[in-house]
Amino acid sequence: MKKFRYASLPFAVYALIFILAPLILIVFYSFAGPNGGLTLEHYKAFFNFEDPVYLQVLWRSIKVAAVSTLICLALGYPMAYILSKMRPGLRDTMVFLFVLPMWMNFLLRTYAWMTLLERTGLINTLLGKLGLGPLDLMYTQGAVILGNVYNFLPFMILPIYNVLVKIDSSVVEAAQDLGANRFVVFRKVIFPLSLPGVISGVSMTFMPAVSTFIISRLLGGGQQALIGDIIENQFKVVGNWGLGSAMSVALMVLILAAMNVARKYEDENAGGNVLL
Amino acid sequence: MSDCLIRLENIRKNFGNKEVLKSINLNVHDKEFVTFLGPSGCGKTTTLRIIGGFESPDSGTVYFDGKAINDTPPHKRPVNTVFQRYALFTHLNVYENVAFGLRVNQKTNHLTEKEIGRRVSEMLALVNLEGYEKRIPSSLSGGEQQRVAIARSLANRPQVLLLDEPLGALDLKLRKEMQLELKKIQRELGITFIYVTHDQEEALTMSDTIVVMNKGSIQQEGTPIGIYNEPVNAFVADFIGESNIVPGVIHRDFLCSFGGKRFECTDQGFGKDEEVDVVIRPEDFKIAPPADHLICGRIVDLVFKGVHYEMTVESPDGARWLVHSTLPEAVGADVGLQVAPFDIHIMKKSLREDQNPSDEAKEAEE
Amino acid sequence: MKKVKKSPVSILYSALIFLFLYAPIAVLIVYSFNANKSRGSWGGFSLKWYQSLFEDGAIMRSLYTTLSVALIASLVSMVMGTLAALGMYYSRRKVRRLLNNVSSLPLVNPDIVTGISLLLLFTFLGFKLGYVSLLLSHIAFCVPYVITSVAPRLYQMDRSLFEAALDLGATPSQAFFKVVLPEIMPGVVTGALLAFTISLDDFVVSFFTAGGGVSTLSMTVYSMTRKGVKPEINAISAIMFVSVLLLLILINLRSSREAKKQKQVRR
Repeated sequence: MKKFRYASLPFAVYALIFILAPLILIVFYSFAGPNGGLTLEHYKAFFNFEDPVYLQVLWRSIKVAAVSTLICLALGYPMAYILSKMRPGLRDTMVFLFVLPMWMNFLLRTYAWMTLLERTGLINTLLGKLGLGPLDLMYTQGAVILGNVYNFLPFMILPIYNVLVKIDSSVVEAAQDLGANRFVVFRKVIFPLSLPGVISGVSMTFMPAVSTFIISRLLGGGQQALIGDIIENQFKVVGNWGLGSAMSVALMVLILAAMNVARKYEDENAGGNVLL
Repeated sequence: MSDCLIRLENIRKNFGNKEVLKSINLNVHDKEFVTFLGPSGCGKTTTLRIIGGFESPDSGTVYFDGKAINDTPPHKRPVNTVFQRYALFTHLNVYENVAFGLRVNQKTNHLTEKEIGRRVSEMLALVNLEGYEKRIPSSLSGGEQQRVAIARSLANRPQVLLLDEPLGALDLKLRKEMQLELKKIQRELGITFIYVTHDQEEALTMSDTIVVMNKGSIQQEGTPIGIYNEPVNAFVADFIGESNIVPGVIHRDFLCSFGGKRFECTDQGFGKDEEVDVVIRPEDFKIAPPADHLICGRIVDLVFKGVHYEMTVESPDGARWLVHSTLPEAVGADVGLQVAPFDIHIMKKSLREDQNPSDEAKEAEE
Repeated sequence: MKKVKKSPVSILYSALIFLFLYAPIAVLIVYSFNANKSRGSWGGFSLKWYQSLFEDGAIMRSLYTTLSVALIASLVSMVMGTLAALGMYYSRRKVRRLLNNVSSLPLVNPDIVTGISLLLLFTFLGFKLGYVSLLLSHIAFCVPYVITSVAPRLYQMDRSLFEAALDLGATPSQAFFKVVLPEIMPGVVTGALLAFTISLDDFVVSFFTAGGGVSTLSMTVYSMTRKGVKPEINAISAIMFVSVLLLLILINLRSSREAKKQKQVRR
């Protein structure tokens, strides 16, 4: 049976070349100076507090992603809760329906909103018939947030639902038996128990939202550039790979750190749940 | 030793730093029903897996029919195994499960499809599963899955069948049925069964020979009756059936004292005034009116157990005695406890491996 | 609790969320049949955008690229991922944890970082960007999905199955092909389907790793959206939606059949 261990060798080699080496290269490029030496220049350029253009973009990305995530949570939690209370057959179908648009090509989903939001799009046409508008819906921060919410809402609903549906109904009954009303049961029992789902939903929404460049490109136009946009720009237009790599590393560290915190909290919480 | 089929010689096995088997020596005879009995973690399953070829011993030799088979891989050993959780192939139906061993050996056994069919039907008849050929394992009850597993492992006509707690997952009634049936199958086929269990009752019901194990070594080997009546140490006494185990002193041959009283006994060969453990089965006590030469006490607990009553008698010094009797005494009654000399079992203190073997056994079962 | 289920508020809420999720897609599909090019007005039912879609060489080429990359990447990932999961299952804990962490990197990292890192790799190696680099990149992020869907099947599998096969006289390779592989097959197939869908859906990684001449469907759509109104996009959307629907129904039927089996086994 020990022979089977070698079965993972092809993947190990492949991962070394196509997963690890590329990430090491990013780190390498982010420190690479013009003449082959090492330099901190790219990081200094990125974290330039006197002329914080890039930091402003990073800050905007975090803000937009955070607002999008909060809206997803506000919309998604009730939906997950309703889902978890449905009878099992219907529930599976509903979950399937939530998954479905998630698999539809990401670009096409975003494009769909262009069709709706444009000056000559459906919403403005309808408003026009009512004698209103046309409104500038496209190329605003609101449009970017809308695009994020639309694309990532299922990522919020599903993890929360997955946790809610597994909550032992006898725990809820025990709380009721001990005299808690429905509101107290929710606040003291259901919500704390569902926190791991909330955390993984938040991270699954925040991570892609903070690093996107398609949504901001298509719905935000040039004005609402996010960190993803300027990274892409460094590689595809400007050609400053060092700066682009430094920004990628910063983004990666930000996300991995957030992920670690989230995971830690999730674990601790899961541990606590057993004791509850 | 011509009929000695399997011989284990000085088998040792460590998992990491943990000593799992400490020099196991054992002979298994042909057509014998041998049971390895002990709490989990005692090494019984490891011993079985070494015979099956799934583990190799760190040192020592496994002989089969006089030949060392340490280096023979499992698929070439003339033994087959019934696994703890059946290990049925869920993607194959009952017929194909039973036929599996016959098919993979077709190069050597040269069976035709027809002969395989006949053998499968024969095996399914043996375990009373005629007509189940097309069923898939997941549609069967636990008991039925168990029967398929047995039929599958017997299809290759092994000389030895290894059974690793095969009845553990079944409910009590089914377990009793299967015990009798397994015994019947073993007799009918005339092959050797090596059976692993932690259930002493199961071991007593089925075995020709019981091998009691604890902490990686064999404690006692013998017939069920021998082991029950003459346990060699406190662990065995406590693991097989219920026992009163109390400290005592043997003054000279045939005279001992415990519970503050002197008794005649049948044991000899101990040192003068040696401290010993005294074991008395609860059913060996007879309740009598209190008297000077008897252990006396008051009934503090009475439980109806179906066939008998279980009473707890507390002596004035605080010692508690477990007594089984078909006649109940009221709680609060003062009684004396009679015991015949041959029902007093004296054991050397040094043989007692640990202070509380029954607790460990309970823990292990969980 | 039952009150919550039937309350009109929760039904209305669910309906609104569904409207939000599906309305844009529905609008796209409806427009794909609009004879009028403008998105604002309805010019009658027509299939002409589908026709021009199929006549558009660039779109058809990118469709071919997308499908062939997805197919090859998912097949290669299926084999490599299954082997990897198997090897990890039998490996020591340290090795397993290391490989697990490495394979989760493409799942955790933002796509843009994965894309750029691969772009840097190919440039660093002097490897010309094109179809092959695109394919290699897709395999890199598809394998982890196969590993994550095969691994649970392995851990659910009764460890003694392999031993039982050996015990009955099967050689180790027979035991693998006749017992272990069929046992984990559902996970293997689900993993491959997942890899196929993920590859199909990808834009970011392709965007950085496909060279000038090669374009996936997502990339073509991206460049089309930047050039103004292209009703053919609506037609692609409709086709994609229906294909994904069918694919997902397929995966779901499989997994629910599996779940049923699992339940029976447990009983």
